Amino acid sequence: MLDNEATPNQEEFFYGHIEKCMVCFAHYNVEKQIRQLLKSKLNNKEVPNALAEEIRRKIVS
Amino acid sequence: MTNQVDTPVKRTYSEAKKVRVFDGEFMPHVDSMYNFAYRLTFDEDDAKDLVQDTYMKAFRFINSFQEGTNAKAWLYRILKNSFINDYRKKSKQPAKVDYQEVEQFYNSEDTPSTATVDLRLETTKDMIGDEISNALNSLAVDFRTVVILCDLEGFTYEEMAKILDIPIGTVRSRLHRARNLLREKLGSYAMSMGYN
Repeated sequence: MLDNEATPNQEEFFYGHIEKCMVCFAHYNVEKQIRQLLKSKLNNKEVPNALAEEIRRKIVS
Repeated sequence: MTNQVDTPVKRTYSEAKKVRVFDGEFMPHVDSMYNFAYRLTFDEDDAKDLVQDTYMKAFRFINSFQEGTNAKAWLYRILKNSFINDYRKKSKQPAKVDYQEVEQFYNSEDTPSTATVDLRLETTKDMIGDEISNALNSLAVDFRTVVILCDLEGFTYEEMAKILDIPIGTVRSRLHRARNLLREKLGSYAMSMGYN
């Protein structure tokens, strides 16, 4: 569901369900938050400048 | 596991074409490849080597890459295989050293107080980021990998199955396990964020 792997039918069923079910709704929110945290808080490392150049140089030689 | 690439159709690109495909389809992924490599190895130099090695292999086997298909997934697959074949072997050695460090750490009496001071120095923002990456890094490499591929890189289950050479069912169960572990570590934290 959260990985965009559910069919439209499954999605409809799911949203219908969590409107009524507090337990699943809370669970869904926690999962959603964790995904958002991972995406937003993990900062990307800066790629060393020389890396791309080095690769490039090696393949043309 | 030993094959880096399967070769259903054999193409032959001209030299100029090779470089064009390499620049156009492979090079744009250096950033995310490097970050993936770093999250696997936890070491900047190793990550650099791993990425370089991956690109060299990609160029060597470029004839088995079909232009316009998913270059990123293809590169990730090579990187993952290189990591398993080369890096993991290499890293089996240091285990003993780590144990000694741990032992020393627990044997020294003033450790708790210094640890507390260190924590205080960090800003809240760093702590949030650290907590998240610690949680991710604490997962075993197989679990860590699926989370990275799925949540950070947005690969589909099918792409992940191809990258990792495992059935889709295994992708699902690994993700499920990984998410349970992450929820244990980050659940209460995520919950508090949810009600802000």
